[in-house]
Amino acid sequence: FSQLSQLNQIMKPICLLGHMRSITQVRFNRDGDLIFTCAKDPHPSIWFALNGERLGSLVGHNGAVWCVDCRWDSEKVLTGSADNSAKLWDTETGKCVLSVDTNSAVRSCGFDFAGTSAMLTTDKTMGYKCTILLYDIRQDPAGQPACQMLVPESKITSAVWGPLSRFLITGHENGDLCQMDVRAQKVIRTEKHHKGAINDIRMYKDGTMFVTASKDHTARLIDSYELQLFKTYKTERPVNSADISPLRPHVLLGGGQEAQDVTTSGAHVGKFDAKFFHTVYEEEFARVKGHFGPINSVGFTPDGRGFVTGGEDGFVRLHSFDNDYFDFEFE
Amino acid sequence: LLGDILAEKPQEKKAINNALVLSGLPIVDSARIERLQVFIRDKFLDKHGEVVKFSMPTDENGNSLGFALCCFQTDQQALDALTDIQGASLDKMHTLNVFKFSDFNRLADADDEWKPPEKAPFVDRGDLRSWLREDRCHDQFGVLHTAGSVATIYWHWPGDPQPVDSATRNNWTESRLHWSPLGTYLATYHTKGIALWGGEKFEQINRFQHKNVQIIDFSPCERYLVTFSPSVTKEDPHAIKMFEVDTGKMKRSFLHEQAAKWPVFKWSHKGEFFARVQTGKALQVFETPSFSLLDKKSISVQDVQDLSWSPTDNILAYWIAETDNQPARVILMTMPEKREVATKMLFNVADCRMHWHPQGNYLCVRVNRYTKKKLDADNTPKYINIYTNFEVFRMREKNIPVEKIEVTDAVSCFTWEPHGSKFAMVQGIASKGLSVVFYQVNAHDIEKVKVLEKRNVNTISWSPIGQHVVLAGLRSANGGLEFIDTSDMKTTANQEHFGATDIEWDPTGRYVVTTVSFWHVKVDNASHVYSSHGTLLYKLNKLERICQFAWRPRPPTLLSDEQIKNIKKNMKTYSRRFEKEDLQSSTRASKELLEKRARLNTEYEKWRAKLLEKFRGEKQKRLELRGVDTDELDSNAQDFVEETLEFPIKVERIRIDKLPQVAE
Repeated sequence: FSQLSQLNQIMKPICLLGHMRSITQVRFNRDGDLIFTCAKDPHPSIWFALNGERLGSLVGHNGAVWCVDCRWDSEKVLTGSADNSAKLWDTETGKCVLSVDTNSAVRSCGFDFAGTSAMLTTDKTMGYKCTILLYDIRQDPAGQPACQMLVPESKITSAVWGPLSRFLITGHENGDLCQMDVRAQKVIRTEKHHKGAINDIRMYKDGTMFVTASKDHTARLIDSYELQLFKTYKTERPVNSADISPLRPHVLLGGGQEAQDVTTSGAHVGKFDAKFFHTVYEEEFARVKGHFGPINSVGFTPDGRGFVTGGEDGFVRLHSFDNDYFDFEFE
Repeated sequence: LLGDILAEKPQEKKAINNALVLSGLPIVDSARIERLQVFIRDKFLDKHGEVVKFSMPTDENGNSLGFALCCFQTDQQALDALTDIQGASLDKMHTLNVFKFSDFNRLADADDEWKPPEKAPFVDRGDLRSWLREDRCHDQFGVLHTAGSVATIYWHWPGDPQPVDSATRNNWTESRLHWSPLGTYLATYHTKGIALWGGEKFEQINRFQHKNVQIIDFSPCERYLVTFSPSVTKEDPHAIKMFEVDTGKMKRSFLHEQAAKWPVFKWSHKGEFFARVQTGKALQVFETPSFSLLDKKSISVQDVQDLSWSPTDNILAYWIAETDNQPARVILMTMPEKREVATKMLFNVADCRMHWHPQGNYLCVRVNRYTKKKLDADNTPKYINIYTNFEVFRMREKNIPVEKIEVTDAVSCFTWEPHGSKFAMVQGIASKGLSVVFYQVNAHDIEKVKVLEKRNVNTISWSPIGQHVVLAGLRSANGGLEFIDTSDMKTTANQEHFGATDIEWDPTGRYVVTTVSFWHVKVDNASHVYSSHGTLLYKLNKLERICQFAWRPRPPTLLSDEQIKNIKKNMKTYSRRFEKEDLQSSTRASKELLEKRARLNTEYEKWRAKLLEKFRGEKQKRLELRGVDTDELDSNAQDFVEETLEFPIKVERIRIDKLPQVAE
């Protein structure tokens, strides 16, 4: 366990203080110079990754913003909110160019590979079933989705586009993982690798594999084509978010505790850590402390030279790795 | 209702279970029969309850026949009496032989022909101590995890514990794991009773039936098992049962009347005797293997409160509460001779607690004393201004001298140092700050050697071989761990295991394990393993929801003190050999680890290669969808536009009129 001490070097993070409520998602654009953060307050923010300076915030939503995505060319931003709407924004100006209303809160959203379609998933509430909606954003859809698909059983808790956007990969509340062909309205494949709700799914840079973060205290590495489980990373607490490094064989996990255990664990100062695992050996080798509450969203910078974490405490912390990190090897 | 009325119908069975037959009585003539009856009732029967019916049959001349019949009001009273007076002696020639009337028919119908009992087949249990002969003398430990549904026994190879073959079992126990005192057996709890497991493969050794058993105790020699279950029925009213481990037979069972702390029956160090207190009345000392009262009678002691055996000698210590005209007393008595070897009078006593030194060298009696005593409305005593005295009995010295220490603060967690002569306790109250105080028992006095102030400690855990101690703040006290070497009273390490609920030293005193048990806290369940000096060695956190971590105990060493001294003298030569072995095994381990990692890497690369093939195959499609190559961050470098940004790093304000004047 000597590896632990090596990596707890002083990496001074930049703290982005823009949200009054807990962070729900943090995302980078493809180039890695912009950071998108959304939280339980109605105004998602865009920041410069270079120095943490805020570009601006997106004003328009009336409720918590659950998800955010940036198009591959960085020109457009997509957000989904608990105010039963999803909005498309212009990144440079922050102007809302399109808004669609849904029947219930929008839980996940994402641009497809080409950037011409947007997918939304909505929550199961008030008589409305969990639904996947696809919109063609080249034309103003006037509120009508190009196609939609109902999800009958366990609701979707996280969703991403599969390789070449042929299908969606969805994670469900009961731990199921599915490939959904929305246009053909069918479930291509279902696998049950997790025992608890899947809180987050993040694609590897080439889309061939992804990592899932689950309430069952594990994160798993799975291939996108056949949903075959390859690696499992075990922790002692529910995992809220995970990401795969584009540069080194490392996986980053962020988690917390069950809501009902919050009072018992107490406000343990600065003790919520981001955990680093070796992708292949499944061993934890480092932890970075700093958050005052559970970590809700994590992400590596697209060049793999840093990472960002967003927590229940409303803080977003942007870290840059020291030189030691790039030389660090397991014996 | 008809049902109720029928239930009230006198049942024949009922009448029989509360009747006893007393035989072995002297035969007396009609003149003295009245006196005999009164004597029997007075001495043996009345104290157990109300005797509803008593009859001493006579022959045609009015002489007694040597037996009597009595009926108690309740079955319980009859059983109570039976337990107490069976085997009691009336005089030199007569011993009471008591049995239940319900047994009478059974005994009367017994076969006249004696049939020899069937020979039980020999079961080879194998070597029950095989674990002690492991190559490097590693210990084993048991872990109950996955919320109690899986139990696994591990070899403690430091840094890399390995589960023992075939020793990971689902639902092995229904509540907890319990090792026998010398480590030979693992006891598991079930609704039907207890099961014992042992041997190299942890096969089942024996089963002991006791429905809904809740808690157990072993005799120190592991020959006997005592079980307690709160589920008592009319047919089986005995809450406490004693079994012989080897045969599985129940040797004796007892009713459990008053509320008491477990274990109710305390064992002498070799398992020759076990005893319990009948609060306020008597000491009951039983002997094995007969399981009957020593000398066939209880030791009547007025106002006796509690007893405790020496861990190394057949000496029983007990204390008597103070009464209006007699001070409290602590008495030490040898068994089976029942000779008093020490007595101490104590004045103004509210309460006493006895703490034996683990090697029996000292007995410390903690006495709560008061300055004033008041009587409540219902005559219960209320004590004002309690302070504590510690009376230390020096057991190994002639006439067992007693020395006193006085402490005014509130006291808790008194512990002796094993194999040493120190003791430690926590003094003070939480709101004002707790201190841990160490004392040393010297040849002629007891010295306060160290006071450690402002310590949030609620557990003092000594190494089983002495010298090292851990001061821990378990459960609600944040899991602080202070490791101290008491030879120079220096703190060797300060650690923290947040939320730790239990702490346990291994039987050799090399490792300390703290655990956050799922039974108390639902998150972060893990066990941390530290060296005796407090270095964190590794964490056992890959197992889910750990409930219990328990080291397997070891039997005491077979080496004599002389041999141990020699080994310590020649430590250097032994060390050299062990260091060489350690080096070899660590390179072996790292070689194994390297091989394992190389294997994992090859597998991973193969998997990735297949995925990359698919990825490359889709390249054309990707170009079509986006119009540019975005496979790498710099794939379309030719489209990059170079931009120079300027950021002010520092802004400084200078007042112009303060600039030095330039000569014109």
